Amino acid sequence: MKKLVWWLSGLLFLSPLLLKASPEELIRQANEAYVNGQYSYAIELYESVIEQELESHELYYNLGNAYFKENLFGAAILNYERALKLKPSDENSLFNLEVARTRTIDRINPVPLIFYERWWKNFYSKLSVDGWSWMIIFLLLGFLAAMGAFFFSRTRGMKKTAFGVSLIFAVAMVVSLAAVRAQYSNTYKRKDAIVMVPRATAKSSPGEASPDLFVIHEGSKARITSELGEWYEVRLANGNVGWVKKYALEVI
Amino acid sequence: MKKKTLIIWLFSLFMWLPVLASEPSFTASAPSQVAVGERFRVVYSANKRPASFNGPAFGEFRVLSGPNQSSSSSTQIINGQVTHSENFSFTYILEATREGSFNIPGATITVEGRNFSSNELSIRVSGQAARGAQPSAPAPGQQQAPAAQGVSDRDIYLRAVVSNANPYQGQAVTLTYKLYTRVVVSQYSIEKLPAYQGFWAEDVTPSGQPQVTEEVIDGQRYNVATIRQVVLFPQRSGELSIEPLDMQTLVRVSAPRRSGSLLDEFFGGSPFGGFQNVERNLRSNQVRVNVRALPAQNRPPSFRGMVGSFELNTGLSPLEVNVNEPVTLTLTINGSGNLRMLEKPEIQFPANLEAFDPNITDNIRISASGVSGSRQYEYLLIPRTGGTFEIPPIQFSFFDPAASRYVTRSSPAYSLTVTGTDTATGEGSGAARQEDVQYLASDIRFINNTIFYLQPKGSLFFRSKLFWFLLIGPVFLFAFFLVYWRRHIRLQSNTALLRNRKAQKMARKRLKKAGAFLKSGNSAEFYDEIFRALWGYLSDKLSIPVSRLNKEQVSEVFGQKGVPEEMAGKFLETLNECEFARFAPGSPQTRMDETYQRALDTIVTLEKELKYKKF
Repeated sequence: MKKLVWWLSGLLFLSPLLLKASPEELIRQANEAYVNGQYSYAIELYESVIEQELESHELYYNLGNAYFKENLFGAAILNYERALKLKPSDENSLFNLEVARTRTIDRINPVPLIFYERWWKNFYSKLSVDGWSWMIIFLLLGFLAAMGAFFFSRTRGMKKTAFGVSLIFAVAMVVSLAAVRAQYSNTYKRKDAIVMVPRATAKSSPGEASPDLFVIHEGSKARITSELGEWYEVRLANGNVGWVKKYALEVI
Repeated sequence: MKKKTLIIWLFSLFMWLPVLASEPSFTASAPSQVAVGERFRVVYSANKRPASFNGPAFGEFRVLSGPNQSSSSSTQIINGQVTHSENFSFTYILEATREGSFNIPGATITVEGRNFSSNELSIRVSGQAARGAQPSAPAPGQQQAPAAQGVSDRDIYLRAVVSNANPYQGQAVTLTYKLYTRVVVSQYSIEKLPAYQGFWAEDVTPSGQPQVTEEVIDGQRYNVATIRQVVLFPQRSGELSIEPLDMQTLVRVSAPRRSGSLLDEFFGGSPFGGFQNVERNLRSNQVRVNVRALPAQNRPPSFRGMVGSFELNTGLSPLEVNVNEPVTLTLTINGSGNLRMLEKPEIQFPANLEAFDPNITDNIRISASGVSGSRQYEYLLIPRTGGTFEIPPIQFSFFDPAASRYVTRSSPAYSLTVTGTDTATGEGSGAARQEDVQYLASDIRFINNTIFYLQPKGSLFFRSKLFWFLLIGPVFLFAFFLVYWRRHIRLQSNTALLRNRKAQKMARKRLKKAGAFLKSGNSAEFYDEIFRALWGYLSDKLSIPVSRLNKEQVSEVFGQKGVPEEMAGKFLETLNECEFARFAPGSPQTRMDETYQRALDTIVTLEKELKYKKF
């Protein structure tokens, strides 16, 4: 009898956990809803997964698609950007982000980069921060293996080859370290945000009374350079700087 | 004298008679009372030919025509008395526009250099809103009265009837105007047609004379004639009212005896009992139609406002063609309803299947029961590439008012097989024509429909504990292994060095032992010991275990170490000798001495050779 009581109380404690659908199940249901055209329901389900403090670039990509289908382009762009933060080279996210951008109002021409800056940015954007991290680990192991071969080989030719290989690994590792540093500062150290309201007015200083400088519309991207109270100082890709209310922006 | 003067007086008086009779007179005449909208004549008559005529200003009356000049003359001989009269008249036809009493000032004429003015006219216009029109010219011998007298509203009236006072939007409603009479109508004309606002109207009045039927209403026998029939399609929902129809009739009534002259009686009245045509304006009742809106729920997406009952027939022929050969897609919609308002169905033709605007053939009959018939769309399609083209099912939806529900008719999906390749384009036949992929619309790509791996939010491998562990761990492991290995190597190389150094000592020990056997004459033991001494020495010197040594390897190793060929030969020869002697005992003493010496020499020289050639 006592045993039964224990069992029941245990079940009572565990039942909320049992009832809570697993994230995989939620994603399966959300994908199904998306396929059936129930986009708002799909959004709800995807968001519930994110509420469980879980994420993946596929999840953000799918959520962005669902928002796009509901014509919420600001939210769609935000989620594509989040997907690209986790996997910068994801082709589908890049494509859909471009499509979503064509539906927005603002066209902000970024300040052009010098060619080597562009090359470098293209290079380090090939992998995410974690991708580069794993790359470094892999290169380190390769380097150590080559060093081992260098030490243990008996003939001169083998030693030469092993030394050359280890040198290549070492150089590649240094480059990867630089790339991970650049990618880390590009994605995590700075804060980019997407405009989530149909239109947001940028002021010259944080205060309602200050003069309006420019207007940005839903879906536009801005970098947050500073904050004060309920205001963010933002810098657009074209170099314009202004103060926008916090509620109008959502950090990627 | 008295008599004579009297005669002269009389005569002169007589002579004056014609002069008196021809004194100019100029009078105006008009009805004293008219209705608004009624047309009437104003006649100015003079008995002398006027040199000029100046009409008055008619003020509130509208001049429809005039002045129309006419003249007549008559000569009368009564009891030998001859009277000659002339009459000149100027006639205006006026229309009364406003209620009230109006004066028309006199007109002036000039006769024989003198001006004469006519009398002023005073006309009262009553508010009876009868829409009079120029009555059709009365038949000869008939006289018309300005308003109907002796005809009541119960004798003749106009009625508008709708077949369905509560239709759906777009549902056909027949509106019939019926003329009910108990009197003889000699003529009628429709004065004003309603605008039918909110409706789309089709006139379906039967041509020719209206058919007359008899109906008994309230015990009275009426002749009923259908004057006009209209099929109406309500275009919007809500309460719509149809304006009344105005009509003018001439009703034949028996003329009342008037105290007119015999002449009037003779010319004006009918000689057969006295009838006269009375003008009567009729107005139909106003009809209200309560149009029901089409239900919003379950409305199919292909619904385009068609109401009625329809069938959809489609056909595609031929089903197999060569490239650039035409294919005909026919689409027929037949049934009853507002067919005229049918919109061209939207068909999504596949790309590379060129579709031309359809040829529309109508076969639509309109009758009092509604609109029915068919409309055919003929599409000419030309496939521009080979392959199979799928024409999706064509949807056509309509609202069935009888069943109060939406009905969707769907055609089958057609599959058109096109054989051959595109050859007709361009002059260079056979030249491949490449096209960019045509993007029909820009849309996002599909979702990732797999179950994917989820990681905790914000977790970053970079700079995580695992990252540092994986980064530093292998380095430490490598360094540790390297150190360990170096030590191991050193230890191992030390034993080899020791053995190397002790090789000659060991060999000499063995040889000493062999020397003892040599003295005792034990040849088998002797050779065995020599053999072991040589192999053991080599094993120690080259750090190769005895078990793995063989002769081929020995010569190979010697070659590598740069030991001269003859040395190797000597060594191997000695070995062979020992081996041979071991299994063939009983060799002479001298020979054993020789072998002993040779083994000793070999080891000494090998020691020298191998010492200088270090690895």
